[in-house]
Amino acid sequence: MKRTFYFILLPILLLFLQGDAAAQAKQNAKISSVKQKGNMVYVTVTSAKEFYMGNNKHILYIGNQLFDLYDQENEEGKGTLRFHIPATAYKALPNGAPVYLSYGELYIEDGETAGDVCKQDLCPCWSLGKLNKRTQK
Amino acid sequence: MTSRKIISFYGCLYAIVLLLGVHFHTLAQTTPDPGILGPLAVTKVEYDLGDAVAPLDSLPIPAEARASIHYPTTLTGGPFPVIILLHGRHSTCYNTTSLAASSAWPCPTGRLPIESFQGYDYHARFMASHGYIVVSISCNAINARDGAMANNGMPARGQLVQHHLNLLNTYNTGATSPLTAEIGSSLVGKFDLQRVGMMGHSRGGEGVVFGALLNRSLGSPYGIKAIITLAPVDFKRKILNGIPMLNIAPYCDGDVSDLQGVHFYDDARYTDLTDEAPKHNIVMIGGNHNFYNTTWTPGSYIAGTSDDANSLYGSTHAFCGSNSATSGRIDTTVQKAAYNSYASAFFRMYVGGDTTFAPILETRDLVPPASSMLDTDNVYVSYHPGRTDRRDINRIDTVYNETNNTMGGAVTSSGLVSSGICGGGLAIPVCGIATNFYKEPHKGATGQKGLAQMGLRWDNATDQYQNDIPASQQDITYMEALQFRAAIRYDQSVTGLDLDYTVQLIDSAGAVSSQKVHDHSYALYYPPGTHATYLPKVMFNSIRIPISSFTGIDLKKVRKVKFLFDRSAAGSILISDLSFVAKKCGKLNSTFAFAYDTVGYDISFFDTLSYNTGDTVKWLWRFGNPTSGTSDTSTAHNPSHVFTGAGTYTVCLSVYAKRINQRICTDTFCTTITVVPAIFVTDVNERPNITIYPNPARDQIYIAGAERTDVLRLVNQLGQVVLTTEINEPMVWLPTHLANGMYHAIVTTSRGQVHQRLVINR
Repeated sequence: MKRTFYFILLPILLLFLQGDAAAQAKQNAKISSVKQKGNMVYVTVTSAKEFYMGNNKHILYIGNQLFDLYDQENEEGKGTLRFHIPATAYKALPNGAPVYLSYGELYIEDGETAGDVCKQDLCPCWSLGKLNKRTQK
Repeated sequence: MTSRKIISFYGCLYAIVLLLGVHFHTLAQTTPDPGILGPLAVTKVEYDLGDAVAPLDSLPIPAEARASIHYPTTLTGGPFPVIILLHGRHSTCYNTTSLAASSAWPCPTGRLPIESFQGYDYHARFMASHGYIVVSISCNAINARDGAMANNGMPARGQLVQHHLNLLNTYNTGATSPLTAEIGSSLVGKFDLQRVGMMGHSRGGEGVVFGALLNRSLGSPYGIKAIITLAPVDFKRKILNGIPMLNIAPYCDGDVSDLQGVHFYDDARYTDLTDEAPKHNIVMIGGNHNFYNTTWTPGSYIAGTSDDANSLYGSTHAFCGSNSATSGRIDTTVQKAAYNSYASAFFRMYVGGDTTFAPILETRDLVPPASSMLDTDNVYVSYHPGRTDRRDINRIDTVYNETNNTMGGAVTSSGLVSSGICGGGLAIPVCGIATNFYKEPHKGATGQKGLAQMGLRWDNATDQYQNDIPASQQDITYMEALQFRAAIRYDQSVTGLDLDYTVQLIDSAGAVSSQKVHDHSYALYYPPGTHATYLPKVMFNSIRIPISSFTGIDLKKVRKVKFLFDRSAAGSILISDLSFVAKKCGKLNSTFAFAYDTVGYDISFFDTLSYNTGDTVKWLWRFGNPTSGTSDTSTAHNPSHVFTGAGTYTVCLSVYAKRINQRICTDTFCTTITVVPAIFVTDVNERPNITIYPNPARDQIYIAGAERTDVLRLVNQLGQVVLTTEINEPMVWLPTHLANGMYHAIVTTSRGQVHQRLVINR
């Protein structure tokens, strides 16, 4: 790599690259089940595509809460994340709260929601719809 | 002005800059290359004791006990220093038919383990060729379970490392070991487990930090001499002092994309002010997360590989995408070569004791080793010397440092558009450069320190920032360099333009010596890449200006360190860690005291030099009394010598101190003493029966067996009498002004004299 090359081309590049968004792989994830066992609620997120098995954390945002303890299973190209949520915390979540899944922590500024950040499509983050406590059990 | 006009303007500006030759120039490489393969043939063996045989306190299932060992084939000599490698989190198994990766453990039927631990064989072979035994540990069981663990499996990783060290230790002693059946017995006794280096990649990086802390908590059964954290996570913000460390941050990391491993460096700088362990950080521009490990690299392994930078940024991203015409990426071959060169320099210095490559790690040689295949604009180094190897001018670690530096001198500025300390969890907790920590890896978080930074923004050639040096600190003749860390604050600077300014030293007579930053460092580069979330990144790098380049001033009376922003018309930088760096060994100032004993010509000598924690010290005393034969020298710390007669003798003490940074410091001090017969030459058997207690003493001592009119004298290690008193009662108060330390308590009586060493410890 030559810095000189970068320097010369940078002004030209700026013409084309302003607002360039990262190419994020579509995960097509969804909440497939919510089950309570003892004092823990397990929210299972599945995808037809395996979830990245790396060194950062998958994080489930529900409303203004985040959860980052989970079992991960990738099998034959399909992915499963089973999040562990204390039953008391789950009970406190508002029905209809927006749900997002991210790889790595989102930086959410004051006044912003996970959805605001996710909608910008600038980092690995996917909308999982809204929490439906009546059907997601 | 439209954006197109702005770009045209900057395009012209760049062209002018290039034509004027302000651009970087290549320096000659002066340091031997640490990446040249060693002379020794290498053999590899593996042990695999099973997938679920290692019980770890903090893991719900037993882990596998599997590792590879690379070693010098002939095994001549030895024992050999040991390097432990610990990979990060990755898929654990793959389907032998579909090759799909999965994450269970142990691997179900039809799946085989993904051998992440073999991904560093290139480095293991290399180190073994230089006489190291390299053990790379499999960590799949933890990877399969740590997602659901609040501690992210870090204690388990530390325990896994300790488990393998214990296995190796048992084997090494020749005791019954399960390893014997796996690797034979040829390596028995060949592991030097008091010289151990560890490298952890990704979650393994934080894992080896936990391992080092666990080893310390167990009384340091193994000698952990150096730690590399390679693209690590730092979820738990553990601070490791006392062990030299190197963090490597790949700029285009698509996994740990906030480069949070810089915290290992930042957080540890001033938490222990006695810390002698150097810290290093290397920013590898264009590096991604996975290419350091061949098992994770596309084309190098059968399953589970990816180019994480392409996954995050897209392969056509202008800088971090590998398929862009303007890509700044380094390919997998370069990335491994680069890691190998710098890791070799680091381990061979701090584990092997070879300081040949120190200039590369200490920013004294900015040219990357040829073997690394990197240009100067691919790699930026930070270096934080240990306590005695630096003199802090301004740590920039508290808001107080805006106006008063660490030395106690005034801090002033004039003309600046803005200045002030931000970050580091201080009054202004973040610097507001970017909206997130992906662009500001040094940023702290709630309850976490991060890096405090002094922001300096200018728009005029007379703008300046200045630190006064108090009179007691103005002699810098024993200093080797002026050093600080800095980064361009890109949101307040011209896009794409590197910056420069002048650093001045001013002596007490007002003489000024100036140096341009750009003549000594590449660190003030405009960070590359654009991305709404991740790029560019503000990464601090060390700027080092040799004191020898500041000519024409009195280096014994340097009164001010001034930054004069007269080189770039406008700009904004962030700085931290302003200090003087000591010459290679500093100054030992060897000296000793002595005290006449009571019998014949017996004199006690006391080395009065203070050493640093972790120093390996050797002493050689020469008493100048050859007729005493072999007793004329001693290697004791505080010896006694019985001179063969009265007279004048020249006594010398030579001290050899090997420091934690592998620097060897020596000094010799000689002085002439006059030996006369003791005033009271008393036969031991006829000494009065006097006992002094307690010892150590705090506020008072009791003297049993003394009589009224007996006299107590306390003599300090400099031979000064600090207390003389008649013993009118058994208890004697010790004056409160007496400092902690060792004294000679001498009780003089009409029946003879008693001498006892007494420690005061309040």
